[in-house]
Formats: sequence, C-alpha cells, structure tokens
Amino acid sequence: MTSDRHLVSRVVIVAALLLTMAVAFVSHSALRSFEAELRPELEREASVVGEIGARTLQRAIELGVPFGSLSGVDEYLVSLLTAQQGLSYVLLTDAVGQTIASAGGGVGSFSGLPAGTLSPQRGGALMRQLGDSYDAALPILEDGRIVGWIHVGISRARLDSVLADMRWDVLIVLLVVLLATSEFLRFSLFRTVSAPVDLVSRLQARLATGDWTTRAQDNIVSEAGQVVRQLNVLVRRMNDRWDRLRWMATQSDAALRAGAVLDGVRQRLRFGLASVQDGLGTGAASGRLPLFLFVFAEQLSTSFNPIYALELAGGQGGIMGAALPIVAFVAAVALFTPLGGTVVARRGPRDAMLIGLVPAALGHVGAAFCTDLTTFAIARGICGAGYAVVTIACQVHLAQEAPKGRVARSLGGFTAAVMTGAVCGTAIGAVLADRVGFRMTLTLSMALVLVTALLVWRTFVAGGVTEQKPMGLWRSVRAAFAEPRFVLLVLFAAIPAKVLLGGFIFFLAPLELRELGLSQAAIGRNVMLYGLCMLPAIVFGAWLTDRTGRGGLIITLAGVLNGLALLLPLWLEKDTALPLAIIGTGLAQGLASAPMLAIIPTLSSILGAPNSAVMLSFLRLGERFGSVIGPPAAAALFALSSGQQTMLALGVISLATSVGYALSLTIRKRQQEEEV
Amino acid sequence: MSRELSFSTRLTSLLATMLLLGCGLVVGLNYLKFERILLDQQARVLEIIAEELGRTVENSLALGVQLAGVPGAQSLLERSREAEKLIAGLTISDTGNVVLFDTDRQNIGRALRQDQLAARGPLTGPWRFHNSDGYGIGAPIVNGYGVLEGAILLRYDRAAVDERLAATMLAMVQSFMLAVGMSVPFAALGLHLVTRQTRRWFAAMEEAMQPGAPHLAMTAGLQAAIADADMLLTEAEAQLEQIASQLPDPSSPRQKAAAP
Repeated sequence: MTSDRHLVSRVVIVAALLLTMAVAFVSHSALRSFEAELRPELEREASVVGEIGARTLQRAIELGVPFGSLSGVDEYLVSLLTAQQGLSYVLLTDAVGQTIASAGGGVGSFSGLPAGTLSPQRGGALMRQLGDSYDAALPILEDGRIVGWIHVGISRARLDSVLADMRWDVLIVLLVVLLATSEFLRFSLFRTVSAPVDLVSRLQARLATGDWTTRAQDNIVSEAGQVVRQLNVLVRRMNDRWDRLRWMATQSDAALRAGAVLDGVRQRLRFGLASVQDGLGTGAASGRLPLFLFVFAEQLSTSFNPIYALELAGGQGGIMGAALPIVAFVAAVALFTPLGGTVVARRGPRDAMLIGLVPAALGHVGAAFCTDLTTFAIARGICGAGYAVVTIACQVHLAQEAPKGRVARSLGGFTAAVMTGAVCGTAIGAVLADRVGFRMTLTLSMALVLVTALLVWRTFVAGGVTEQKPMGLWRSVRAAFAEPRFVLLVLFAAIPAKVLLGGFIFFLAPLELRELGLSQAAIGRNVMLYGLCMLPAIVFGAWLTDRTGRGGLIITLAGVLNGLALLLPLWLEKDTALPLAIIGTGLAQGLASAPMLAIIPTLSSILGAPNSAVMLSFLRLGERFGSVIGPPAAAALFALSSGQQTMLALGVISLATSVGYALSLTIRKRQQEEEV
Repeated sequence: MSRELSFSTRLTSLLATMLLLGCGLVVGLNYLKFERILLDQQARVLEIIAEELGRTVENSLALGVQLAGVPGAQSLLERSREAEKLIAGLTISDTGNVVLFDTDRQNIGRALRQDQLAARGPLTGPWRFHNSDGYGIGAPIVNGYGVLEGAILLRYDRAAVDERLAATMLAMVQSFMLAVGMSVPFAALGLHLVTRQTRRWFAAMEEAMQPGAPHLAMTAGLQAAIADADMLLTEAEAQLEQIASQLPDPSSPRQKAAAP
C-alpha cells in the first residue's frame, strides 16, 4: 500500500491545486469588479475638482476678462493641485489642445483634446484614461463657444495600491486556508486511514503469531471500519470453532486422546477473547490539529495587541502601556509553565489540555469585552496561564505517542504545528481585525478555543499519567539542573534562541524595516518570512536528528547560522541584509527546534531525573526567560548604539553561545570517555 | 443496511468545506474592504464639495459681513443640494453650534448634535462623522483674520455606495458559486484517483477474510495466518470426529462410570 506520507502528500497537492485555482478565480473576479466600481468614483473626484476650476475661470471670463488674457492661471492651478491629494496634474489648454498653463508632475503623458471636440452632453466632464491617470476635461466657454479645456488628472496609483494590498490579503487568506486544510486533511487521514491501517497491521501480526485473543474497537469509520468489523467477525468465528472443539472433546469418550488433540492446537494458537480491545489511540499526528487550532486562536491578536492596548488606554500610558499586555502574557506563561508540567504529570495530557483551555477561552472573552488597559492585561495574563498548560500538555502527548526512533520528528511536529498556527493566526488576525475590529477577532479566538476543547474531548484518550515520578518543585529543579547537559541546553541554546527571537524578530526587525521606509503591510510580510522559513527547517531538523542522532551538533550549527545571518549587515546593504537575517533566523531556529526537544526524553530517562513533562516545562521556562529579556536587551543596545550595531551584537551573542555549547559538550564527552 | 461514508467522500466533504471557507473569506473580506474604500472615496469627493462651499461663504465674510448675514447663503445651500444628488442636507452653524442656515429650514435655530461636532476642534480642518441618521462631513468657516466663524456640515447617505457594493457582491457571489461548483466535482474526482490504491488495500483486506478468497500478494500475511489457523482447527476437528467414531476408550471417565 502507498505509504501514509505519500497519501497525505497527494491529497494535500490535490487540495492545494483546487483551493489555489478557486481562490484565485474568485479574487480575480472580485478585484476586476471592484476596479470597475471604483473607477467611476475616482473619475468623479477628478471631475469635481475640474468643475471647481472651470467655474472659477468661467466667472473671470463672464466678468469680461478674455480667455487669452487670463492672468495668474499657473498659481491657481497649483493651488487646485495642492488642495487635493492624489491628483497627478491640473492644466489648461486652448481649444485645439495646446497647453497654456499646467501644474503637477504627471503631465508627461498628457495630450490635449483635438480641435472640434464637443462639450460633453448634460454638462459634466469628458473622461479618458491617459497613461497612469484618469483625465477629466471640462470646457471653458466664451460667447457660447469652447475656447479651452481644463484637465484634471487623477493618478491610478491609489487604485493600484488598494488593489495590490487586496491581492496581498487574498494571498494571506490562501496561505492560511492551505495550511489549515493541510492540517485538517492530515488529521482526517490519520483517523480514517493511517491509524486504522496500523491497527489492522498490529492485529494481523498477532494473528500471524497464532494470537486469536484480541479484537479491535468497533468505533472506527469508513472502509477501515468495515475491515476491522470483518476482522472481529473472523476472530469471533475462529474462537467459536475453538469452543466447538473443546465441547467435542468434553463429549468424547477418549479424553486423553482428545485432550492431546486440543493441546496440539493450543501449542500453536491462542484463543479466548480478551476484555481489552485494541483501538486507534490518539496518536502523535492527531495531537497536531488541536495544537494548531489553539495557537491559531492565540495568535489572532498578535498583530494588534499593542494597538488595542493603546486604544484602551486612551492615549495614556505610552509605549510601556502598549507593552503591558504582552508582558502580562509572557510572564503568566513563564510562571505557569512549571505548574503546567505538574498538572500534566498528575492528570495526563488530555485532562491537562482541557483544564488549560478553560482559562485560555476566558482570557479571550475578557480581552474582547474589557473596558480598560488593566482588565486587558489581566485577560492576557489569564490567556498566558492557559497557553502554558496547553502547550506543555501537547508536547508531553506528542512525546508519549511518538513511535520509537522518531521522537525528534514527532516533537518537531509540535513546533511545526505551533509555527503553522502562529503564521496563520498572525496573518489572518491582522486582516480580520482590519475588517471586523479587535473585539470581534478576539471573540473568534474564543470560539476557536472552544472548537479545540471539543476536538480534544472527542479524540484524545484519557490517561498518560504513567510517566509520573512524584517530585516536589524544588527537588525537580535540583534534579533537572543537576544534569549538566540540561543546564548547557538551557543556557547556551534555549535562552539565546529566544533572546534573538524576541530581540531581533519582534522588536528590532520591525523598527529597522520601518527605517527603510516600508509600509506596515510590507513590514508584516517581511517579519512573516521568519515563520515561513522556520516551518520547513523544523521538518528538516527533525528528520536530520532522527537520521544522524547528532542533536547537539545540529543545535550548534543552527546557532552559528543564526549568528552569521545577524552579521550580514557587515557585508550587505541593510535592505538586503535585513530580510536575509530574518530568513536566516527562521531557518536556524527551525533547525534547532526539534533536536532541543528530542534531547529531553533521553535526559529524563537518567536515574533521578524528573519526568519529561517537568523537564520540558523547565526548558520552556528557560525559553520564556529568553523571550522576556530579549526585547528590553535589544532596546537597551539600540538606545546605546544603532540598529545595525544591535544586530551585530545579537549575532556575536549567538555565535559565542553556540560555540560555547559545542565546546562544553565536547569537553564533557571527553571526561566521560576518560572516566570509562 | 446503509453503508457509511467512504474515507475519500469524507476527504471530499472536508475539502469542499475548506473551499467554501477559503472562497467565502475572500468574498467576505474583500466586501468589507470595498465598503470601506468606497465610503472613503465618496467622502473624499463630498469633502471637496463641502470645502468649496465653505470657501464660497468665506469669500462673502471677507467683505466684512457676519456669518449670520451672508447674503444668499440659504439659496447657495439649496442650489448645491439640488446640483448634487448625493447630498442629503447642508447646514451652516455658528461658533456656538447653532444652526444659521439649513436646507431643512426647520433646523434653523436649533443646536447641532454632539456627534456632528469635530472631535479635535473645527480649526484642525474638515472632519467626518457618522451617526444613526447617516454620514456627514464638516468643514470650518474661517474669516479673513483667521478667526473661526462657524462650520458647514454636509450630510449624505450611503445609497450610492450600497448600489456599487451590491453590484460587486453579485459579481463575487457568481464567481464564488462557479468556483465552488466547479471545484467540488474535481475534488471528488482527484481524491478518488489519489486514494485508489488505499481503497484497493481496504477492499482486498475485506475480501481476504471471506472464505475461499483468491490469494493476493498484498494480503498474503493475513491469508497465511487465517489459512494456518483454519488448517489446524480443521485437522483437530477431523481428529476429534475420528476419535468419536472409534471404539470407546476404557480409560475414559464415562466408561469407568458405566462399568459394573
């Protein structure tokens, strides 16, 4: 049979093709129709300005000034042009189209109306398209005959800029729908194909060893359900035959010989239906969709949190006020991460996720209905608490469900789901907020959290508490940080990575891009490159780690790559270096993501170490610490020097910590070899 | 018994939902953007008209007349309203926000509503307002000495914008229905083709469990397991039947019990 990955790829390709064609067709038709409806409104603007100009000149002629003797026309045309933004020119021609006076830089492509052009019927203006402008021409009359024309050109640039913006929005919608569809299809294929095929294969392997004791749960749907039901019937039928044999043996007069026959069967086959039925399980793949939806919901507000905060503060509080909800969120995530680990260890991933989703939903509701900055910050803090518990629960779930030898890839799936959700949520959240407002977007976040809860409740299997090693918080801290490899990972890899993320991607890059004169939309698109590049890098990093088993080396190389990317302004112009640095940071952080997580189960298995959930929560805590100190650290460097020097400093930090990590690992390895 | 949905049908339904969602988002978000841009564009045009009317009144003030006594102000407003079908009403008010001239003469002498006033003061330039009665634009009237004399307010409704929006919406809905209507059958066909091998595997597995099923390579493992168990059980059955058909075993409990 075609492997799962090939099937998923083919289905996703079909979906992507159809979605792209359908969305492209609808958007093309929408934009064409919009252009057709907006053009008359633009022409009307030119026409109204032209009417004002024509009326003024007409009044002068009616007062007895001959058309040829009008004075100060140039100055008047300049005043008309400057009074209204978006006009490319205003000019006056004579009856044969020769320019008499003009204002504006867009007159290059202008050609006057030929002699004998009739005045437009019912008054109004004569409309033409000249180059990149719509031209409105109004006649100037003297003694009832046309002596000249006043032309007003309105640039198409405004229309083109609006259309370009809308095309970007459509591309973002397409990207989000494609990524979301891919997640949904992956989930659906897992439930209807991959997991049932695995189940059937497991049962088949048991039958091949003569084990006829297990049946499959009959809650499986589609073709797989039919197969599983047939398999259950088959197992039942064989058990019935065995029961009949046993009955025949009891009825036999030759007990010894009959018993010997049954023993012969027993030696090769096992019968008797076990009470526990084999099921689909939750599976690592099915854990991705709830996580994706949850992060999607959370990130919808990322692009406008500071703006909404400023709006709620009513202009009071300044930049610190705008930062307050972000700080509250990150601080809550940091504070609740260890608690999240404990909840997961005690209650299992499913229950922990359901518990974490409650504050997350309440936080979004609170944010949607808050009335001031304080309540908004509190609401974001509540969201942060939920986020901490849910993300830890998901990671533990993926680690528990990961097939042997594919831990890194499975945990890479966590980061990939988070990044996909982040890219989708951030991108579409900005568009939604632009159209329906902040409060509606936050309400949508809450609705998505509820959908996530429903999905977890329906598809996750309870339990997963098996790994629990009860240990107090301080004992856990001591035990986790007693392992030098964990300390090195946190200090030299996790914290620096998040310092660079917070300091460069979230703080410095937008400011530096704005310095280059880019629009807000263009800044957003550049920053989004980080997530887009990180996604394939996560998959590649996970594959490479599983393939080579050299997680430490990959983390080091990723740190070096990140450092070099941030040093690019040394060799390239800023407008090239900045996007490349963002891409480099995305690639590097994506590469390092899965190996960092994959080390945790190994470290957790060491005697005396806390369980994976607790260790993951400490790793996340380290990352949160990096996220918290990143922006203020970059801001301080920025205040002391310049944007370029701040980038270089961050690059040097990345290089130094990754080299430090590599050296520490090497030294430790040699020490261990010497001890052996 | 009705057969439940195949997995390719489920995938097709999911893809159809995502097609509806994707195309619906494009239509909905574009509609909201169109609405805003068209309203803005209409306001820009009317702002030019309001400012021009304000300038005309200011020219009269330059002659030393008080705003309340500007000759022909009422007829200027009425003529302007007649000339421009988008205008729902025009008002000139003084600095105390009392209406001096209005195309609806009943309003003269009344105070302007709070939601019609400029949020940051009229001297900062034209402003826009929106209330339950509709949309409006205000422009300050300043005399030759730069002193604020009052304001001109232009009220308008969005009927013209709604007409254009309806035309755009109709075009978008048509293309939406066409896109979804064409894509869903292609989705069904495409998914049917790419899932062919998987469906064959399921069908083969189902068939392999039927008695007397032909031997297939893809189900060899399962068929071998079934055949092994079947053979073993059949042999055992045969042996037990043979034992039963032979002479009674004297060591059997039944024979012992029957013995005298």
